[in-house]
Amino acid sequence: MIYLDNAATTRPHPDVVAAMEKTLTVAFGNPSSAHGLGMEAYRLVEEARKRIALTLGVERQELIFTSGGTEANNLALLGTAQNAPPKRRRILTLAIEHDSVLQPLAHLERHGFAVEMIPLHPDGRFRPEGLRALLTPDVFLVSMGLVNNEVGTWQDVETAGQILQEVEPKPLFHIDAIQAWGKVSLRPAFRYGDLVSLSGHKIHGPKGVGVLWKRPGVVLTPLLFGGGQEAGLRSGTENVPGILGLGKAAELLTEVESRDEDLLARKMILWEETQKHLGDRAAVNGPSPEEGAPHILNISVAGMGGSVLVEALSQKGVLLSTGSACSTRHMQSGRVHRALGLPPERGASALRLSLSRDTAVEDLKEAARILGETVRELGPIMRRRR
Amino acid sequence: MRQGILVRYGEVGLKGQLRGHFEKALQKEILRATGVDPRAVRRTSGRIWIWPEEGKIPEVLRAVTRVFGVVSASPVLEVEAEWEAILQGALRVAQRVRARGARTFKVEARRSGKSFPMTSPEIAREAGGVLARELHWPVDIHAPEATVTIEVREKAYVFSEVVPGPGGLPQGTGGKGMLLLSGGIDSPVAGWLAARRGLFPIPVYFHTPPFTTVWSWEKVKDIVEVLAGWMGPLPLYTVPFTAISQGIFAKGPERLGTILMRRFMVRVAGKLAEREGAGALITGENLGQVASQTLESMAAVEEASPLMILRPLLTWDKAEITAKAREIGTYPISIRPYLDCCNVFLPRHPVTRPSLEEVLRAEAQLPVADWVEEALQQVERKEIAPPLG
Ligand SMILES: Cc1ncc(COP(=O)(O)O)c(C=O)c1O
Repeated sequence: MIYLDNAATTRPHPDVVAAMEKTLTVAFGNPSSAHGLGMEAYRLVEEARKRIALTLGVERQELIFTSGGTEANNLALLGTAQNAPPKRRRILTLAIEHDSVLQPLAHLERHGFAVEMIPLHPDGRFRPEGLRALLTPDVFLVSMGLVNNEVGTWQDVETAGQILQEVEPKPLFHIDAIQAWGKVSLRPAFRYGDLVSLSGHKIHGPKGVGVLWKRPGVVLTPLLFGGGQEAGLRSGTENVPGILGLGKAAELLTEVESRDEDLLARKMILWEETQKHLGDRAAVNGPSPEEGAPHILNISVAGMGGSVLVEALSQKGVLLSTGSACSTRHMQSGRVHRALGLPPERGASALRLSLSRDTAVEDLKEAARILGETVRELGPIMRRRR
Repeated sequence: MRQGILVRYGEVGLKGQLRGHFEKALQKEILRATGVDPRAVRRTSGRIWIWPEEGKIPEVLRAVTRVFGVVSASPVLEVEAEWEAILQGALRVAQRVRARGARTFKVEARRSGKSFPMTSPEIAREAGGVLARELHWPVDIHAPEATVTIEVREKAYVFSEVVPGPGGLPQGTGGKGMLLLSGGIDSPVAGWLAARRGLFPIPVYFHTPPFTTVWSWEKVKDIVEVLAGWMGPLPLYTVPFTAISQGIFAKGPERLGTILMRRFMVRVAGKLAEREGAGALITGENLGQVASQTLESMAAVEEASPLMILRPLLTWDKAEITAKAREIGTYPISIRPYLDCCNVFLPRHPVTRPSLEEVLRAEAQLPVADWVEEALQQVERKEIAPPLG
């Protein structure tokens, strides 16, 4: 099996599994319990929090554990918008954001907010002058992904953050850094953002756990009320196994200066090999390979249905996603491709190949070869439809 | 006193030997569906009584009202044929229906044999009076919202709630048919309707990977599972159909593609019918919905079929089919939107009224027997069990 669907999820690291197992067998206490077993669970959670804070370069009391990236995004957006003054009910975002950003914003739109899309370059980067043009004091919140999950656009949040400072009062800045964690530096996000979302299962950690970083002073109303865990911002008995797994996964990440160039080099090999086998039948969607995130390559193979290739490659042990839907299984128009101004055929024929630090160069070459071979096999049949 | 289930069945006009055959098959099906001890099932005077273990009534009631041939079923209380016991039983049953919101009621009574000292009208009147008084429940003889029925024989039986069953004929009394199943709304309904007339449907799915994905196959399995909930474990045949489809579109005229593909499907299904001892094919076809469903197209396909093709939905409207699919439970699965949008094996301009002659001429260019044989060699048969619970 050659797994090239790491933007969907990653294989949990064995150390992550071991850390989690411990909390499921031995240290299974409730961190709120008064006895020693509870104390131990509490200590483990707090150690994980400290370790994550350390790797992120933030303070541990600024981290809120959630049930994943989706909840982190929802909490950031809904939890702050509740406190928006009546005269500041505009929100800016990008049309290529993940549904866990766009859907809560659509919910806010149904409740009196105006949500507007910042204009994009064809590669998915926001247009600074477009942001400036939309930016007035009634903008309460701006939400932007540091790395886009479908085409891998790497946003310049530093520039965005500086532009936001040009207006008074400065809008809150939420950054979905879920696809960015471990791939590009998060420093600009913590420097310019007010809220940053992260998720465990994209960094070889477990599913169902995430974290929201909140700058001190940002007022957040919880989505879940109850026992007052996570400083009252996220009630519910802590997901101790998840949090420990997340802590371990964060610890295992290597520091990236700006971007993981080693990973990028492998992505470039994948792209070159793909071109070798497909020639100009393959076209890149989104940023050019050397400019985007180091782990996502979104391509369209002319005349080939994305889902057909995904299925055919899956039978040959190469696992990837169609590149045009957040959920491959479900029929969805290529929302992101449309937002980038690409024709519908490009969306329908898009593939997303995504790497992780575990991906071997040999596997990339083999995957490209199998892709080429599959396209040659299916091409004549697909061409009938042209 | 004990609790049981009274099952009503019967086709009007079913008599003599046929009736015996029907009853035997029904009893067998009830045992299969409910899983109760055979000794707990009794047949008397044209009805079936089930006396399951304590606490199993709701589960058995649910199972038995999904058995084809069952017209309806009622939870029933058996008491001694003594007036006090009958009143106590009637009160218990009445309290339950009353609590469910019936605002008015009446009592019906039937006495068989003359050993019990009261006549049927007397039983009804007296018991009605007691229930009305005890429960402060108004009687309405003409349009009651609940009817409490008392039957007095060696023992007395009290029931009120009547749960409808699907009716029809018991499984297997009508033989077997191969059901051409797609992931769509229609074909599962066609299979269910056939099953309701006692014709056991054996689903056959034609799979064209990679043009249809594993998710569509999964969907078909889920549909078969729902059907199995009505008729017990079903074998699902999956026929790899990519090579044939590819061959047809490579060699035949594109506009006849669908008809040629369907001719291959009925041939393969016909061969599988031989293996299974099935006497017909069943499809979800429905007159005039799409180009391939004109009379001419159906006739052109049927000509290739070794067996007659049954089309239970032929004259149904889409809305009726959808309503039935909801009732059966296959609808939510059928509408799952999977990415089979790239169906390459669809002619751009299909013929709507093909002449058999041109179809045969096109087919003469194809190695029909070889392709059918190849497909049959790769067929997979998988038993699908009913869903749990
Ligand atoms: C950019 C982005 N945001 C949010 C999410 C949602 O995170 P999670 O799956 O942890 O809910 C994902 C991944 O699915 C993502 O790629």
